[in-house]
Amino acid sequence: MPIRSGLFLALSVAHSLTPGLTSGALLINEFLPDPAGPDAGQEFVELLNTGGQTHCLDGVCLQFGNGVESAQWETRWTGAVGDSLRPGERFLIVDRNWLGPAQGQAEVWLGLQNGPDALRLQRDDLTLDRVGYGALTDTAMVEGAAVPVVAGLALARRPDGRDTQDNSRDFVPTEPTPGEPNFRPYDLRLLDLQLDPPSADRPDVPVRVTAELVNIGTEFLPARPLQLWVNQEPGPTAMQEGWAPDDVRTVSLIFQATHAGPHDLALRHGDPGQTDFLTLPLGGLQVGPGPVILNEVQGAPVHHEGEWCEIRVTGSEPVSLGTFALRDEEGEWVALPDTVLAPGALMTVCQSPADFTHWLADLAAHGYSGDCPDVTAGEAPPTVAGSWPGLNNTAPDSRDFADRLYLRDGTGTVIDHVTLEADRSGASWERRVPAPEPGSGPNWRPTTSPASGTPGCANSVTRLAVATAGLTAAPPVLDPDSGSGNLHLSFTVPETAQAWRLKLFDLWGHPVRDLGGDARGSGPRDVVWDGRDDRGAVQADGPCVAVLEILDATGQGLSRNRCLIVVRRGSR
Amino acid sequence: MTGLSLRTVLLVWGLCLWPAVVLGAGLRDLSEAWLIDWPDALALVQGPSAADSLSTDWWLQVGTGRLFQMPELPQQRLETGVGFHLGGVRLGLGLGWETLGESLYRENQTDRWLSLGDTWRVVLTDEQALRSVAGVSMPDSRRLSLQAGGPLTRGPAWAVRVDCRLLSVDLGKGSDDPPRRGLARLTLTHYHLGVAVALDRDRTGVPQLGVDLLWGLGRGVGISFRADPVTGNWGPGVTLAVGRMQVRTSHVGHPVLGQTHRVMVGVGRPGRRSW
Repeated sequence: MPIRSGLFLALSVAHSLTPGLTSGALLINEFLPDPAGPDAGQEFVELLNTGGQTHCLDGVCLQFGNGVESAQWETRWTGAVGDSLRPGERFLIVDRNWLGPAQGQAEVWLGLQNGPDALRLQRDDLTLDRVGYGALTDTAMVEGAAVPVVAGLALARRPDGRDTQDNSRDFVPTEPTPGEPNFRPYDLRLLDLQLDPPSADRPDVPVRVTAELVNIGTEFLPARPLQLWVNQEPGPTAMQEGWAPDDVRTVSLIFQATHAGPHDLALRHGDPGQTDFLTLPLGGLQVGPGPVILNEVQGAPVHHEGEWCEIRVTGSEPVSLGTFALRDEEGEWVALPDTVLAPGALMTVCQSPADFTHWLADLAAHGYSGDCPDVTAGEAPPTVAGSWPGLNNTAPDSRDFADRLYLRDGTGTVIDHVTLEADRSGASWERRVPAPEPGSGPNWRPTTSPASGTPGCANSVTRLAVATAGLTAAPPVLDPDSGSGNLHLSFTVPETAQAWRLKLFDLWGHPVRDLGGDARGSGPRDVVWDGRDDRGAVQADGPCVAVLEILDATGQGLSRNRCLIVVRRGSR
Repeated sequence: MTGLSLRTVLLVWGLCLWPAVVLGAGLRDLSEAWLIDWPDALALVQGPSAADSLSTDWWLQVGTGRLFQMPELPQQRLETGVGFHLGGVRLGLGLGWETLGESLYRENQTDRWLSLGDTWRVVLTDEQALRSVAGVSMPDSRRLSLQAGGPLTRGPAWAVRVDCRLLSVDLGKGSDDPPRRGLARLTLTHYHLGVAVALDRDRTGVPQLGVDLLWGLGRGVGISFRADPVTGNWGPGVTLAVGRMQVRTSHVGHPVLGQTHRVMVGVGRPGRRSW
């Protein structure tokens, strides 16, 4: 999880003022008072012997002081006979029922609070070390000033063993490293990551990756190329000057995906084999439609139906929505209902099921059935597990759009998003096709439905789009070696038509595969091609043309759409 | 080997070998839109003397088209060649470059050929195809082939010529490369009427039969008909020849994929008729 740069202001100040270590001592080197999730079994305190001689721990006490109760110290751990710590060694005291990765030398009930509180090491009447944290004002419980607490992060000396008698200068919030050095010599940490766009509709869309990084290591990073790696393949590079510890930099790189599907992004500093070589995972980017897409969004309702959005399954497998989540531009992620959706299914998720149902009843009472009878006949849709991500209807000064709705999968990758403009006059925002063609114009448009939305049924703008661009392939390149073993051909049979047939040909004009058809009337279709021909043989590398024929009830052809697709087995 | 025995060998070889080699003919590449060679076409539309009077060759051809009229499949071709005598042997050198597609799929083909002989001649061709998908290169394909051909008979009324591919060796990594020419080709002329029939098999083993018919109307004008019966591609074309310039068009259609319009413009002296 990226740490905001505000935290690293403290880090930066601490490091820049480092005067070096004081004389050897037994110190509290790192502790975690407020772990992510439950505290039990995750809290720890790490001691470090910074002196030149072995330190006997017999009789040494770790005491907790409640900052609210003014210097009331309670012993949490006492060193046993025979406990000792050699120079440079660490001693890890962990909470009872320890869940952490490292082996603790002592397991006790720690019961650290989240501040204002303090810890101290005591031998008889002698205080060996003292750390105050949180909004602590009692100067008797702290060395210098207290160190602020950040939820989920440990408070650690930077570098290890640094002791200036001022806790606020010696400690910084950082990822917990129990039993290990607090900071490596060479290390980069991601403070913030921006992908523009957050997900790409199709492969030929340039994506700007902007990463805010900090040199979290204790050494100077020499000048090296910083290269973006996409799916383990090298991408664009930005040369970096030498990089001092705690320096924060923003790096911006642009790349263009070659195929649809999930993409893993990472940054590499230097080359493998160099001592300062670093790999920094950035997360994922979805190119083209994922297994689930946002299909329609109502962010500015005017009929008191509340906000809602429609989810669509694009793949050929059922999808369990329990791991997917939604958020808007400023909001927190909220989980979708834990429901399994069939391939091609639509599901509406709404802010208020009662208001939504009332709206449907209103439509029915006014005799509206329109072009989407399902609107008035559906059951109350579910809502999200948490606060609804309320969507802005006007653009704040900081951006030129009103809001964005993001859809995240179980890995944390944003697999789809929609940007909402201001002043939409009550019309829902509909997606035209799952994967738009280059030059086909905006893929999201206001609904043309008189009911101001089409939840649970085909989008009105999709039906309009059939006349111009009815057949899309996602991804356009079938590449089994890159995990893209199936290709989806999507289109919508218009209301004026009854049937369709879809065939593939090579560029000589030979038929490759008859993908069938049906006569079930209008509506969206998604046909999967597995890369095989009519005989079941694997289709050879090269281009094919998909031809979609739209037919009327008598079998008369109404229109014909074509689409170029390519088979590539690149690693052959 | 005498001319007669060579002729017999080539004829037997061509008729026996053509089904066994996996190469496609068909109307995919721009160069396949016309099966009757330029000198023969010149003779058909301008009269035999137009081509027979030339003893040295040089030519440059530029062609363009759009496969099935799809914007993703533009085609271009540039071809040049020269023929001359060296030590009593007639030599020909040629170079061709053809492209197909654009960003999603792109194909760059180059072919170089060397011919030895006059009416009976042997042609060594080096063909290479570089392909890329969405900007990523695919394994290239390369093929060396040897063709031989000559007139079986020639006369004022009928002339028949046969050209056969004798050898074909794949050198590249990509095995699904686009083919260039048919394996065996038979060309017949009767006064102002010429017919070329190309025999081959495509990579799936389906026999291919390409037919190109050209009817010279005189005054440098001819109309043609080109068909590939197996794939269903067929359509008309026009040939115009004025002085050293020739324009050929092809307008074939596929029953499902649609029309393909092509035009090739050539300038130069393409040499004597092949018989």
